[in-house]
Amino acid sequence: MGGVGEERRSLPPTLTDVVALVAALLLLAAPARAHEAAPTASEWRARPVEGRLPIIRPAPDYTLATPDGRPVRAADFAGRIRVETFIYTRCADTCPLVSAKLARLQALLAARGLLGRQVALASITLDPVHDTPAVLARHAAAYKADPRGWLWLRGTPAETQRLLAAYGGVVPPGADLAHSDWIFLVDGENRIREIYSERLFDPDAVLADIGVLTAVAHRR
Amino acid sequence: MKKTLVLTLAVCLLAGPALAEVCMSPYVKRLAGREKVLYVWSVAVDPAGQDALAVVDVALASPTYGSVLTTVPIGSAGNEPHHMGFTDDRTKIWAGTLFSNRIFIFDVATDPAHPRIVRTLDDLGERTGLLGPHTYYALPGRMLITFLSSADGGLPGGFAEFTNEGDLVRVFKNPAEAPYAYDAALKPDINRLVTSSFTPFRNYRKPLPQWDMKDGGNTLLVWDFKERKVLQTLHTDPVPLEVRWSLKPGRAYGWTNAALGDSIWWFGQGEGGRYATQKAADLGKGCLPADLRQSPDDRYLYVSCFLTSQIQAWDVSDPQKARLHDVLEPGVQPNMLHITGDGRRIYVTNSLLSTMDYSGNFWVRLAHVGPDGRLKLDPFFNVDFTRVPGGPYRAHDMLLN
Repeated sequence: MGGVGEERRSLPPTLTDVVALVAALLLLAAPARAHEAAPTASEWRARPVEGRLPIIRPAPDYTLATPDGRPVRAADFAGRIRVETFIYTRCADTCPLVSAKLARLQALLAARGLLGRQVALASITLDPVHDTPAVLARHAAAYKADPRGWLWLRGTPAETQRLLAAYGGVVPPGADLAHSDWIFLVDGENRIREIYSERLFDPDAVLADIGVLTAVAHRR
Repeated sequence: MKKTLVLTLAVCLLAGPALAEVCMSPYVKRLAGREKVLYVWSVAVDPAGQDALAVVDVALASPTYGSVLTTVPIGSAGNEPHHMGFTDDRTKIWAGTLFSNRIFIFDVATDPAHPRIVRTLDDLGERTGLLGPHTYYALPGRMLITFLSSADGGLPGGFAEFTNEGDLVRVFKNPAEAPYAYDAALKPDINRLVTSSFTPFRNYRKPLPQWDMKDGGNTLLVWDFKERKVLQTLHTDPVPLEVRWSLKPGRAYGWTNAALGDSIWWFGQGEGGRYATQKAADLGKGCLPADLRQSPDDRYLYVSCFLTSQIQAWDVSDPQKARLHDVLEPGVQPNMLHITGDGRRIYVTNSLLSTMDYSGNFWVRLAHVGPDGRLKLDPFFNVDFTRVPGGPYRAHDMLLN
């Protein structure tokens, strides 16, 4: 333990790390909710896609960066489905729950060989001043984010505000960074096809929605 | 460290099931503390006046508690302001009109005491093929709006979905065999939407004596919400209005008030997964149940009897067989009820439709709900809407912030 290159482990856990851990534990401990069984691929193909996942509107374009400085634009996801949300590392209400559920979704996607290649997850920080690349990288590691499929992104404060507004998000004045707990499902043509809220974000149901979009992509 | 864990655990548990006030979409963000302002969507009595969104001070410690702080006029009278709803993030109110078929989007985040119109949708007929916007139901990042009519004033009605900014996403029309539309309520944990039925624009826009009382629905539709597909048509007494699901997770039943049947009906999933209906309460002849609300603990239903001027509280411990628990007489022609998140207070208004009101006194009053579930009128809270500057107004739908 504590060898070279494992500096992160030697740091005391921060409150947000603990929140993340507890949220993950809660999620694992929660009894499996009764929901409709995920359909098979052939059932997905039989479904009317427009009824289930309408084109809500185009997703906004952006230029952000990963903690290691690699620039990422929305256009870079062309042809891939992505699940995108806003978080910040000091957030102690819904963000840890969202991130814990994305961690579960990451595992489901990885188990099916979809992560990275066909589907990406993107967590965008609303607090780029505090969430420096180092802070964001450490936070991502706390959720065991696989950098090939789950990107943690930050931009300039101005770009972040522009992007949040373009997504229809509002941070009311005086309410720290209280924000909408939306999670967007964006298709390979950069169009928003579903919006989830944290409380009713069920990773298995989201996987089924992703299946609808990938089935259509395969058919083309 | 241990303390931090316990604290964090508590925060996470609280953050999970946080629901907004009952009778609103479960997606609407919860109010952080006690209500400070009450928005009242108000119909100008004087044709030369202007319909308006009124803001009532309901902050207990405020020196102006119980008075109208401001009104936001919408430019004209005769629109028939009716219902309204928050977007899921509680930053905007969508408020609609039944006669002029318009929707006004108010920003209530920048200054909750001073709403500001940020967009007006006034070509709904052309954009959606539907008229008579009624229920404003929040989905994540979107609004689902039910419509009483097709664009020609007839049938079928249906619903349309918009982004929170007001851009149309898509439209669903009612099936030909159940064309009447009114309210909608979603039970996300079982993926079921139930819609109800009233009467279309061609009927409700006329003075009441000219209404065709047979031109109304008696159906509830059960939808697979994710697929937006009708699964079943259910029947009740004539014109089932408000749809209220049980608030307990997983429970596949709820209630509706049949206005012309003077009754409350239970709807729910029975044997084999099929939904059925059953009369759960007889409200007494001539009640005309105009609004139906519920307590957060799933124990009571509150119904306003517009014609017999009562608010009745029904114990629904047995969901299919309600028992009358209490009766309150708040004043003449009570209509809309709005219950606080803690279930302790019910704000009441007394205008239904400008063509149906039979009293010229309009007000907002407050009923307190005791620990025994009984109702008591607050003698110190009585906002006289005939004396509001810019008024008189008929007070209709309400929201708290």
